[in-house]
Amino acid sequence: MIERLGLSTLADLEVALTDLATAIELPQTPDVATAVGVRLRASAPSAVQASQGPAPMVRRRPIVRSLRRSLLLAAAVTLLLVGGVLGVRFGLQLLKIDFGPLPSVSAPPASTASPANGGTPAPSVEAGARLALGLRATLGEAIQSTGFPLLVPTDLGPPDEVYLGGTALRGQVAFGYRPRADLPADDLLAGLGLLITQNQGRLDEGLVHKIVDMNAGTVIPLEVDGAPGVWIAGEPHMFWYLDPDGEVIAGSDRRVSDTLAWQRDGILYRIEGADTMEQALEIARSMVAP
Amino acid sequence: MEGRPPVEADLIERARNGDVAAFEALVRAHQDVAFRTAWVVSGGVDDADDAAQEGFVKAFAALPRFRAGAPFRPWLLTIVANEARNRRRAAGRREALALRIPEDRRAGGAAPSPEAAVLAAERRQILLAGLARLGEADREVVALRYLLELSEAEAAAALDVPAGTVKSRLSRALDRLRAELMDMEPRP
Repeated sequence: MIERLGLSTLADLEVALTDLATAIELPQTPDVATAVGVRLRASAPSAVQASQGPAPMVRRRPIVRSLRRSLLLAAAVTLLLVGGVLGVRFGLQLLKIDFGPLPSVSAPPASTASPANGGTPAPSVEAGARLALGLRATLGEAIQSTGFPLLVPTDLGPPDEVYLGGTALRGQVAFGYRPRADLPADDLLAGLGLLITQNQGRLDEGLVHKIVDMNAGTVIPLEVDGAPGVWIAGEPHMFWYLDPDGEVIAGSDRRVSDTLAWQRDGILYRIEGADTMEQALEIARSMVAP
Repeated sequence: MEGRPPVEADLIERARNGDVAAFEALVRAHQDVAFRTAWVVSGGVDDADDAAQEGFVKAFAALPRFRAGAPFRPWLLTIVANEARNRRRAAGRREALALRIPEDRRAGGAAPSPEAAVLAAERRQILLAGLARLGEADREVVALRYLLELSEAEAAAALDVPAGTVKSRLSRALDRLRAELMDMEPRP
């Protein structure tokens, strides 16, 4: 056989291996450059300015991707089993989120997207990709394509990155803020400093929509300018809700850090990555239509 | 000279002085080979992603120790492959390197005739099967040299061995691959 296939000699073998290299499927390279840039900038000034010693680690994602699906499944099962107990444990009147009609989202290709204020596209698509937030867009495009009025926090200004989740994420719009003095990089946000998401939906009394890492965390009911909400702090947790049919839906395929969630006029808002509840509330109260 | 893209040495010098954008440009230029090398060494895509990222971050910190004028790519591959090896050791196992030919490339490429194309396609599949039967170390050196087309110096850097060792290791791996292929001959 090896004669018939032209593999008689070592030289033949080398030629055949070179040919194989042209056909073999190599894994697609992720955007390492952007991720490294984010980490290095987040670790400034020591690593960037002095370039001495190892760069301080940006807090990195805590779980490997291959485990996420298992964790989600395990969490879903646990939710079904202990959902009734959670209300007692957290001492909270739990909430159910019913999503309204999905808005029509027409997102531009990521490669043509530009940053929120319409300028030159920033190179960072890594956070959005890692967090599976959807397609990169401008703030203007998000405002035009989303079927509800978006709010932008005047405290922070326009977001550095905007993502449209499309139907897969129930029309979610995500605003990413890169790290800065008051918003340190968060590994759970793939190096972003803060993430704000807005969904068309409805908060009802009902079932749990958060599991705080199964057994830890603090949930505080509160109001944001009269709108009902919750502050969830402590261990990283996953975001869950039950759809109108009672099916368990993963609101995000990842664990999230301290979160402020509230609902107003049929829109569900979430702020992830604030250092304190006070900071999150301050940002939330500054949110207005641009 | 005006408008000429910065050469690697310029980027290295700027990155050495803390210019993250310059280093990002360097990473972008080398991320393919670094990621794929990490993939071959670790066997897993996720580990390769992490190792490449971590390796580049460490390389940035180590730039002051990089000898000006030395080849950058082998130096970089040493760091990234080392990260990949550490991850493989920490995991206590190594994922088997998944080598496959996608459906649309299964034909024999630029073969001069349909018969030659069929033969070339069969040869590729047989080679894949032979590679799968090799030991991890043999498959690693063959993949680095032939599938990723690393130079001997780069493969040596990735494997953290002298170039002469790559040569001898590769020779033994090819002997074993050929033996495997002969072993796959249908018995009369």
